[in-house]
Amino acid sequence: MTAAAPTLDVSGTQPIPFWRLVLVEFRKSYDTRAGFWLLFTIGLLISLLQVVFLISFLVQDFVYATFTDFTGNVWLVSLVLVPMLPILLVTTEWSQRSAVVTFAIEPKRVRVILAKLAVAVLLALAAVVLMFVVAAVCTAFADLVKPDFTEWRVETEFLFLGAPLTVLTTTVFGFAVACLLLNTPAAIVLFLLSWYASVGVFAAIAALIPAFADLLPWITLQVNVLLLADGLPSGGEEWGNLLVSLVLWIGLPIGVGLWRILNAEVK
Amino acid sequence: MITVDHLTKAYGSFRAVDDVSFVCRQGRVTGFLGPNGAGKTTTMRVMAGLTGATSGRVTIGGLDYSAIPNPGRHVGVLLDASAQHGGRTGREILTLGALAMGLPSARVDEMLALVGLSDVEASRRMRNYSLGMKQRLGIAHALLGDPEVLILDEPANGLDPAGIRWMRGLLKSYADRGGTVLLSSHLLNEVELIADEMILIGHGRIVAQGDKKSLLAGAQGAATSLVMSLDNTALATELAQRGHLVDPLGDGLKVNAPTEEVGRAALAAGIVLTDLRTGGVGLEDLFLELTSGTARDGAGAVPPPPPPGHGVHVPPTPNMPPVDSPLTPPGGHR
Ligand SMILES: Nc1ncnc2c1ncn2[C@@H]1O[C@H](COP(=O)(O)OP(=O)(O)O)[C@@H](O)[C@H]1O
Ligand SMILES: [Mg+2]
Repeated sequence: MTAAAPTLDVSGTQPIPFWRLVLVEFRKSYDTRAGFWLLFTIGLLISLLQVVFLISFLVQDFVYATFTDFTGNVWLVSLVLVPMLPILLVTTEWSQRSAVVTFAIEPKRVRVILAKLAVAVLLALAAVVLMFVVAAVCTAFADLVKPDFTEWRVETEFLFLGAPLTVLTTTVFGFAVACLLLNTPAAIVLFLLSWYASVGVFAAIAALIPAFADLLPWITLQVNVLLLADGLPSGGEEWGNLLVSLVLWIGLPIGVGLWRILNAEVK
Repeated sequence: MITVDHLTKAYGSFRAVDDVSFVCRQGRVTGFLGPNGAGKTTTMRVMAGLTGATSGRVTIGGLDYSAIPNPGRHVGVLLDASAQHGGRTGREILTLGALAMGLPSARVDEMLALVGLSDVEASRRMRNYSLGMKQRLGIAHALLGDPEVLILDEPANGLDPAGIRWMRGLLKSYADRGGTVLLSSHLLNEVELIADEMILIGHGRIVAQGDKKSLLAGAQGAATSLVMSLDNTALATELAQRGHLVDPLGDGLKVNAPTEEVGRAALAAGIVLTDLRTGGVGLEDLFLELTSGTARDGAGAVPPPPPPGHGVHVPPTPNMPPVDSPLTPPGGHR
């Protein structure tokens, strides 16, 4: 370094590769108590619920169990549990104010946010894989003990498409709500409300205003996502319903949230 | 190395930073000094790209912060030592930083040792840290990527006296090795011992800049004399008639005029002086005067800052007061 050169020599420095940002964000997902216990709880519930089903199957007489029976309830639970991961990953940066350091290390904020999304997607897929691995183990055990009542009926459409797609969609939905609100409790409440309550609220409105009923399929995210479990939409109208509700519930909040994240002061 | 060029940051109609220009040079420690709310943090946040400028620009080594690839390897930033996840341990916080910057994990241990955080302390969660420990961790984080430029906002906050001395040594040797250091403080004595240059800011505006000598020299208009005579009342009247500000001080008077002026006044009035000496002007007086809420615009005998890009100093004036005068003259506060 010489005093005569007032410029930074950055020619030898590579930008931070995206995979390293993903690695950092992955580490952040489990290196705090809240993050660790959330991951632990998700893993535990996904396994435990199936084991409970297995036990009840084993102690009852004359009931049948199929591979899909093990995953059914767990899948529904995963739809709302797994999205808590991106909610925590995004919002804690603001509630704990670590965003100041995060964005000083990588000033291209959109890369950090995308890295968080990538981690959420990977963890969601891991949760789905775990769900099916445990289901396979449980079915194998059931088959061993009560082979006459156990069936390996695997619905490949659900296994390879429906389950991953639905869990991923709600995970991205959680991510969108988190980006929009940047506040942990608010994001969790809004996520659960819009997932569970919106259908009921819309139905109530439709009962009062009949014209609104025609709109319902286009704006209810939950219904469209749950339909995905049985495979991709069949017709043009169904595709339209799905895409419009996705844009409304996921695209819009991500857009607004991202704009705010990229432009707001980080305090 | 750091160039702040006509930077303004407005919140609504309030200008937190108002047309600020200065330069931090390589191999030097630049002190950024101003009372609470003067706009130091805001200026530094703009430097690191965390706050957008309303107008004007900041470059580091000619680049916008966001244009620096892997900026942690070039610019070390400490803005708010508490702005970390309280549930992470000190070691984990540094590990995340090292991972992102692509540094070996051994660097984490090096930095922990450098800032004097023991293994036990480093494995405690940060919410249990004292302010001083957070500050040390923040300094470690800023130094992690072995940067050429350091931007530290009030790093001495919460450090014990030994810690402040340690930090002085650290920054001094860092600058001697060619680094550029900008550190802010609202306390003059934290900065004046290490800063090669000082930027004084008040109400979002630069009120003076330069090294200690030229700051004091530039402030000669504020020079004071301490005088005792056989008839202080008559002397005070005479001096007041000549347009000087006179304050009683102990058994004598404090006059806002050079000693020569006071001597002439006494001669003219025929008053016997028993003691006449320069009260000097301390940096602290200067600091308080320049940045006080009531600072009159005309009070700054300090010429306006030179244009940016130029060497930053206040031109010397013919009758310089002694620079080795005590920093705080007796009763220097008004
Ligand atoms: N987001 C904001 N909205 C409104 N005013 C702000 C905001 N951030 C800072 N300020 C104001 O800007 C001024 C300068 O603040 P700051 O740069 O933190 O001062 P310093 O670091 O010198 O103490 C203060 O008066 C502060 O209240
Ligand atoms: Mg401040």
